Amino acid sequence: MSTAIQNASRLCCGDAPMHKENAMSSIPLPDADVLTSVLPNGEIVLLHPESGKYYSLNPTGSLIWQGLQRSASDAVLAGELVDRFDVTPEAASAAVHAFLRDLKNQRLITISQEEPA
Amino acid sequence: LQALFPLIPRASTPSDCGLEVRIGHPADEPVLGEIVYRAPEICVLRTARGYHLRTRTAFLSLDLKAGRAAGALSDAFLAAPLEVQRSLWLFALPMLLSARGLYALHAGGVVSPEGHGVLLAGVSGSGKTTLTCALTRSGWSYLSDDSVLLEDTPEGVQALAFGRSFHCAAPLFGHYPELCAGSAAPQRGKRLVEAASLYPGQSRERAQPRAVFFPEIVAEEETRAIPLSATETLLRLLANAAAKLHGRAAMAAQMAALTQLASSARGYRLLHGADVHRHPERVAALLRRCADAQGERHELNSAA
Repeated sequence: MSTAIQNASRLCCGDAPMHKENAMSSIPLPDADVLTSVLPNGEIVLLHPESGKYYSLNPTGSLIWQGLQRSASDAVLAGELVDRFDVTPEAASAAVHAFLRDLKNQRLITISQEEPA
Repeated sequence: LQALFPLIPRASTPSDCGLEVRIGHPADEPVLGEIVYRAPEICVLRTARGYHLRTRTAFLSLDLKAGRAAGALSDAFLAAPLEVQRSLWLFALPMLLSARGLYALHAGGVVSPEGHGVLLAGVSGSGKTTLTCALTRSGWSYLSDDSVLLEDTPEGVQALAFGRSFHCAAPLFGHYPELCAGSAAPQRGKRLVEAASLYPGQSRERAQPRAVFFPEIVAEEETRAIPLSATETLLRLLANAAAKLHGRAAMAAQMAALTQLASSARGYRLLHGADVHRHPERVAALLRRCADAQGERHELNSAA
């Protein structure tokens, strides 16, 4: 399972600094301009109109993207992976954050911070 | 003027298309825009209302919202061979048509004897013209050898003929001597061939694609077709569609049409070998089997 999660997307990885865990939960949101196509097999293809670049997501990446469209936080997204797959919360959280980092580097999402309740 | 527009058959344009090209001598005012394409023969700027296209002897300003092009064509431009004028029109028309729900795809189009539309999508040099010639010789109908327009209709995506003439490189004339008839003098190693005069009665104006092939020339004897998933098909279609249209709405509509096409038509890599020339009927039979394939698909070859 870990392989599937590590390959959550076929996005190019940038050189972003490693994510630092903190007490705040982040709310990643899809960029309003990004176009989403859902294929009959459930896989998702994204198109960024400004750059003209397109990206395909595998089933795990597609699951995370659909969560982003519901405004799910990173913690909720990691929880969904734990529920769906045989993976530890730590591994799920690391996979989600790595994926979000790729999405942010490609300007496909924006991330805001939410203070804990 | 009539000679400029055999590029789009009448049936390809919806009745409300309302495209308008006015030819006159408007003032050549300064234009502010971002250069989005520059080549020796043409420069394209993105402006607030659309695009501004400029060659050495003509310019056109495209108002995409109004579906209108206005500009000036000099006497030198109008006296130039149609082939030279084509670059301006081949930039302007797809841009104007995208605002009317017609999206250009870099693909040849043919129709099987059963009436199934087949697209051959790929960059220049991938073998689109070779395959189009081989299939047309085998009795298939001809839609286009280089570009089609896609229209998303309630009945599914339709491929419309776009361009009744096509370019042929010199080696093709050896395999298909009939191409020499009616072709213009070669330019930059290629000749412009009028398809309508080549295959009278075999031209079609539209078809519903049942299969999309992405050809690649290989040094093999037999031609092979390797199935692609809908996702792989969509990614390859995107690579052969207009990379950037004017505005998010147009790009969303184009993306929807391509997604619909990738979901409804069967996609294949087509590794075409020497038998395209030696046994075009075998390649035609292979493409028919691919277009007719039901359920789970496997690699097919022209020898079977």
